[in-house]
Amino acid sequence: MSMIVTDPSSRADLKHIGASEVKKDAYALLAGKPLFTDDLAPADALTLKVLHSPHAFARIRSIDTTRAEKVPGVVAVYTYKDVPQSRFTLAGQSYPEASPYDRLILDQVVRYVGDEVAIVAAENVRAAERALRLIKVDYELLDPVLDFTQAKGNPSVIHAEDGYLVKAGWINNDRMNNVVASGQSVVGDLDKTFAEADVVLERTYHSKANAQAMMETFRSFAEIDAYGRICITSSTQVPFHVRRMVANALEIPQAQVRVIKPRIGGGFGAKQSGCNEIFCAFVTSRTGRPSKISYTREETCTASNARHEMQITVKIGAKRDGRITAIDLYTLSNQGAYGEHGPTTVGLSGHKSLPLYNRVEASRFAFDVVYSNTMPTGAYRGYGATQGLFALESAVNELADELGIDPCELRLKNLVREGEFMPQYYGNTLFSCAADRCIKRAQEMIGWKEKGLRRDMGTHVRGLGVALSMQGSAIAGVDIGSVDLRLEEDGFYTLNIGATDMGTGCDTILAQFAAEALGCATDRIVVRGVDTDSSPYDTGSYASASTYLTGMAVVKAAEQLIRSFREYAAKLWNIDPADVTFDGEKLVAYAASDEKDVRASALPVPQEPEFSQVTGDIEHMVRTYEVVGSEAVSGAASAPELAAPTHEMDLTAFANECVRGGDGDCLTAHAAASSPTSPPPYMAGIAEVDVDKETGEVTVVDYVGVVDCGTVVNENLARVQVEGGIGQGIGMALTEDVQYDARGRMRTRSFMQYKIPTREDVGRIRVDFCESYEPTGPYGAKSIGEVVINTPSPAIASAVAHAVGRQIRELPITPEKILFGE
Amino acid sequence: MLTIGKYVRAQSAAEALELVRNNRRATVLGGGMWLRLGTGSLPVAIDLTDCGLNSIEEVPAGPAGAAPDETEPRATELRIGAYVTLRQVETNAAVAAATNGLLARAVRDIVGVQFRNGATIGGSVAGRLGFSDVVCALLALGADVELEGAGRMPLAQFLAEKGRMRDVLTHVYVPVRPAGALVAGYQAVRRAVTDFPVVNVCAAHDNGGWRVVVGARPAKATLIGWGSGKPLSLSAEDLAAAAAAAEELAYSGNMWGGEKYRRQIAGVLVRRALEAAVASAADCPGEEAAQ
Amino acid sequence: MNVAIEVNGIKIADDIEPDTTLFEFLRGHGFKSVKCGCETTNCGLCTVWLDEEPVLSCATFAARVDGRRVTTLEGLQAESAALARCIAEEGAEQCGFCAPGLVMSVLALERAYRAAGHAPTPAEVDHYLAGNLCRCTGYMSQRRAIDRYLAECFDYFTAPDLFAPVDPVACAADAGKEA
Repeated sequence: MSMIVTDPSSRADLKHIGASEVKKDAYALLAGKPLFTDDLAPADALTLKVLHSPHAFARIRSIDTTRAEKVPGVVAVYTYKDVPQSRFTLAGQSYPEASPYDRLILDQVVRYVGDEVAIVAAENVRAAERALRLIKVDYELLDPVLDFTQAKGNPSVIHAEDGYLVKAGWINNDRMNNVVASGQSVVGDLDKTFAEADVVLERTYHSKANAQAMMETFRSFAEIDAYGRICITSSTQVPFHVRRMVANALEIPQAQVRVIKPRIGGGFGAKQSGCNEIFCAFVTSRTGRPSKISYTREETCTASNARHEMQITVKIGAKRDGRITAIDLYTLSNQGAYGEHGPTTVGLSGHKSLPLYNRVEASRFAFDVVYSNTMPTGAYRGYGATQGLFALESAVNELADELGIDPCELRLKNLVREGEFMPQYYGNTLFSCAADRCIKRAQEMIGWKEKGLRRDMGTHVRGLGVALSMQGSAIAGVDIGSVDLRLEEDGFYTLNIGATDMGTGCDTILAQFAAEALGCATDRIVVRGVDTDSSPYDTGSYASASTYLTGMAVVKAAEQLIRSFREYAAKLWNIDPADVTFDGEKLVAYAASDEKDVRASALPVPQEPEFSQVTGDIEHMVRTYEVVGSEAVSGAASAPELAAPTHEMDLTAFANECVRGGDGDCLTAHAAASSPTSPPPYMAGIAEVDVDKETGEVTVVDYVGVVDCGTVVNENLARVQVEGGIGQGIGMALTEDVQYDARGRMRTRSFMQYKIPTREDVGRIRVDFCESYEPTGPYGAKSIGEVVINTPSPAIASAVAHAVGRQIRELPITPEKILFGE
Repeated sequence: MLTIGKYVRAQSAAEALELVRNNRRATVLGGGMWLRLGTGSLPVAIDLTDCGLNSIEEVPAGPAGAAPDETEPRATELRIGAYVTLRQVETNAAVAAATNGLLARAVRDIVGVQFRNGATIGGSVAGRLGFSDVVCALLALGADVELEGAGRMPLAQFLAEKGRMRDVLTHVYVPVRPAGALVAGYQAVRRAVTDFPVVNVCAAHDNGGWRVVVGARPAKATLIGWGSGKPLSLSAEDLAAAAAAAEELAYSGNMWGGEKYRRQIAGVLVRRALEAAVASAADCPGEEAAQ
Repeated sequence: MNVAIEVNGIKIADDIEPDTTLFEFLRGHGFKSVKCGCETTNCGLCTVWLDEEPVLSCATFAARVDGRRVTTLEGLQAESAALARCIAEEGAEQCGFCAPGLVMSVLALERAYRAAGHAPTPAEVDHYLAGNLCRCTGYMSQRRAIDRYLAECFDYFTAPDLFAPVDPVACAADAGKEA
């Protein structure tokens, strides 16, 4: 089966792709097995606690730990005086990171309420907490920048330190003006196009620094292994990047660091930055003893990382007939106190929103990312696209309302189509898009035409609102997914991956790819967790890369492995590899025929274009990954004119034969995948809301989401991804409200104050899929992990606007704002 | 986290009282639901599990701690021990009958079942917390509290006290009225379904008139200046007057809502609570209370 | 101070700090299925049974439950197998961190309604489980799985069709009436 298939109907032949396989770790997790970081920590590990700054911006004049050190059970207390002085970043990104190196393990300057001041290492948690209270700190208070709209050019400079490093020049860092990054991209003549438009709307939208709020907080532990290296076990999405940041922070070679990722209790991007790994690595390196740290929910809410707060201004121009002609989008992104993921998230706010309306005559995306003395930000599902789509889709909805055109019709009229070159989407060409079908299907599911945008029910009023979403699939030219695939004694396979399953089931999905490509049951594929010592390199689970990119690597590896089976069998049987066939269960050879020369060339070395030769043109991106069943890889399935097989061996016997002795070995294939393109998945979301006219309370009565993620690999798991993303989106739209006090201290410090949806808050969520076929993706698949969170905020805002006549532009949409405005 | 010096399982309320009175920093534990919120220390924590305060009994009505506006004496009342959990209050048949389902309605959105299996009615009342749904409903019901030390008093009087408690709350008394004699409605606005209320309102009517309580202002529950002696059936003017009386209370803003918003919806919720109560009366047998 | 708590049928005696929570006690004695996700009683992950009733172990003092019976998921492996199968087959098992608390709560729900002699309604199920948070699934797959399980337990459990519109088009004809 070729990956390049212009006829998606061959998808029907797939056996494992599309099946709702049960996650491989489901039963162990449901039995409550001890598989998470804190369950695995050594019993004698020191417990670490961090002293957090009470001030938003201050310099430590003096810090006295003598009384703390005397607490029985306390082993050590560390301050800024004890740590290495090389700055690093906690951003989990490929090297060289776009995020500035602006952190120390402990700094003399603290830059937000929650910033780390000291580390206590003790035999137990009570001793550690007692010690925290006995550390005396004298702070010189500095002038904090708490309003990010006042940050640029503010006389109070947040990062004026020596040793600050910018590894990526393109970010246009201007830290002395509190600017982390800035830039713009322009297409066409904006002024002229706006001048010619019939209608021009300009609106400003504001989304907040939502917390990822995964159920497992940040946890890690460190120990010295048998080779004297620091071995860290962490609830992280990016073990290879953690290895680098720990090495940087401790000023030791990466060879001295090993990172293991066990089961993790959710991430959603929070764990795409390092958090407390550096603390236990540091303490273990200094004491020689294992140490562990588990952040409380309060620390997770207030002293880690969150979504970038963004203020986005959209100016949109259109003709009376609904043709959108110009879009100008400006993002001001609040980075918080340290720069992780700042330069990169902001780009998606424009580049993963504007391309929906690719046929505009002119567009501009400009941005500034600024430091402020608030909690640092980082990655959260959607990674900037969420905020950009809230703004742009709200603006499009307001445009529709202004023009009196149905919001779905307006989108269908302007939506990007397959084959278009997208200047605001990294110069990619769009090969697969079913967004139009997604809109229509969503309309059908909710009863869009029958219900109308507004229905007055007396004291309540109902409204419908729609929004589109797009995202990417991995980071083009940057993300790497690689796998090792090995045939084990007894005829099963181990699939060794670097991609990190954070609960999504990518371990299972990748096993499905392998099973499909190898022609066997998924039970025959063993997937193992990630250990930087032994797992192949993978940038990690972010940017919606696991299915698209690592999946591709799996398919490549399977192809190579099958070829090696045939070569080895040929050696055993002393025949030509071209005569050996493999069908997933057994290797069979038939008597050679006169077509031998032709068949000899049926086992070519895999062809693929040089990465640097690849352009956006699909002709240049043709890949020839072919797996079980295809002639080039498996050999002809059967040749009618041939008689009984000359040689035959089932896979188990073959596997055992491989390791029988002498120069035997388990046959192994390694493959890495990267992609020059990042094909966007699409989603249409429609919200039906019910608003109480007298109190402003809003309920999401029904929410439909229809997704184009290319080929759906596992229907159950895909559905759960969409439902989960919509649930988080509903929280972002309605109940999750980060609040700070006047001195920069976060008020929403717990689940008591920061409300994520309970099961009574989500109403009903209904999901369907409209499959396109992505020719560059494994079996036509694109990504799904992030696109799913982006529709609820704009869809609900529009539904509320239709219901009550007020467009809320600052999230969350609260009853109070509905009654009184913002 | 909270650190405790000495954990005492008191064997009687009297013993607990002595501990409280002798030690300024001795504290009686309620359900303990929020003990991890604080980082303080309790030198002495007193657990009342062994003091026989875990039950709900119907007893002959007590002395004149009865609500002042009642015109007829009660025959019996429910005596609810301080350590009775909110879940027990929610599911108990006698409580449902005596309060016409009101207490269950008031507590059902508090966090979750597990929470309510731990949180106690004594802890909810003794905390005198502004957002308490329990206090709001009990006040409307004309409940009394009993303290080891200070004795029995109306809940309203207990709520008005300030400062550290020097007594031990042991019981809550809820009047038992004849079927149909009590009608009540409970309303609250929450930003998320199990969140703290932005405002909560309880309106209850028995033969003495209406008691309408507004809580989570964010200050604690208090009666509005309207309703005493009023009959069950209400005109549009009555409803407007009640809403206006609610709006005259003191409100302020906090993380959950602003002053103006609270004031406005308080009026709305009072009207709705009254309407709900009146509507439920229409379904009740025993119409003698409906004038 | 000394306490003796029966966990999954086995009496465990220990000398503890007075402020030890039941959560710490259980994990300290190897019952690692019990998880913690917050400090404010909101998440439900630490749910265990105390004398067969679901409670939050993080907010319960071990000293309070001296002499009483506690059940964790380790003690319900056989009893939870059918529910586990329903959840796994639905794909509702994602990161797994909320699972033990959820399973404890669903089984408690089942026991409560069996004792009451009737099946719960779907709304009652949601309400009973309101204190069990999940960030991964958006709750729909959990609903489907739990509905399937309850249909196996109770003859008259009516699961709603979660793929059908909440407010079908027919309601449009009622516009103007009180919702």
